[in-house]
Amino acid sequence: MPEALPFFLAWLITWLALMAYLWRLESRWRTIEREELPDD
Amino acid sequence: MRRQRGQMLTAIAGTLLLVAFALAFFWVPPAAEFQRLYGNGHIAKIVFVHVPLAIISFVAFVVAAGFGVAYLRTRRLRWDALGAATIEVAWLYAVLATVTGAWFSRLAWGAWWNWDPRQTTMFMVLLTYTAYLLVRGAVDEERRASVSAVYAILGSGASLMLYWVVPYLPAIQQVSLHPSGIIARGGLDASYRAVLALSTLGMGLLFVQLVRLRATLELAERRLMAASR
Repeated sequence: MPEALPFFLAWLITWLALMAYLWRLESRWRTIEREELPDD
Repeated sequence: MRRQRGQMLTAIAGTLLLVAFALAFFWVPPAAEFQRLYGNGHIAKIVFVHVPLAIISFVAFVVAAGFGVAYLRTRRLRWDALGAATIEVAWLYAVLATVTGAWFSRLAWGAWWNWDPRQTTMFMVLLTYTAYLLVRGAVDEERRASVSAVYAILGSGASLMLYWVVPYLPAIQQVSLHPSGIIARGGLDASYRAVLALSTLGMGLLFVQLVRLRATLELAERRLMAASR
C-alpha cells in the first residue's frame, strides 16, 4: 500500500526517536546503579 | 517497586501506540477531503503522530511552569528536577511534531518548509526551549534551579501565545495552509477521532514515564556529585 507509506514513515521515525531516548535514559540509570548511590 | 511501575507504564504506552498504529494502518479509511486537496487521503493519518506530539508538548510546557512555581515556593530540588525533565522531554516531542509537520508539508505542499504561520510559531517555540536547555547548562549550580523556574514560567506564557493565540488570529488564518480547519469542522470521520484519542493516551503515558525516569536520573546524578565532593 504505497499511499500509506508516508504515515508509516512518520510513525516509524517518531517511534525510533522516542525509543532511542528511553534506551539512553535507561542505560544512564544502569550506570548510576552500578556506581552505588550512597543513600539508596 | 518504582522500577516495576515504570516498566508497566512503558509496556501499557507501547501497547496503546501499537494498537493505534495497527488501527490507523488497517482500519481507518483515507480522508476524502485530503484526497481531493492533496491527491493522497492517507497522509491525513499523520495527524495520529503529529497532533498528540504537538498537544502534549504544549501541555507539558505549562505543567513545567507549575513545577517552577512549586520550586520557587518550597525550594525543594525535586520540583526543579521534575520541571527540567518535563521541558527536556517536551522539547523532544516538539522537535518530532516539527519533523512530522515538515514531512506533511513536503507531501501536501511540495516543500519541507514554507514558513507557514504554524511552522514559524513552532520554530519559535523550539528556539525558546532550546535556549532554556542552553541557559540551564550554563548557569552555575546555586542559581540553576531558580533561573530555570523563572524561565519555565515566562516560557509558558510565550508557548500559550505561540500555540493558541497567534495561529488563530484572523489575519494569520487567512494565509495559513495548515489543515487544522479541516479537522476543526469535522472533515475527518469518527474513526480518526477514536484513533487520535488512543494515540494521544499512549504518547501521554510514554511522556509521563520518560519524565519520571529523567527526573529520577537528575536527582541521582546530583546526589552522586555531592557524595564525590
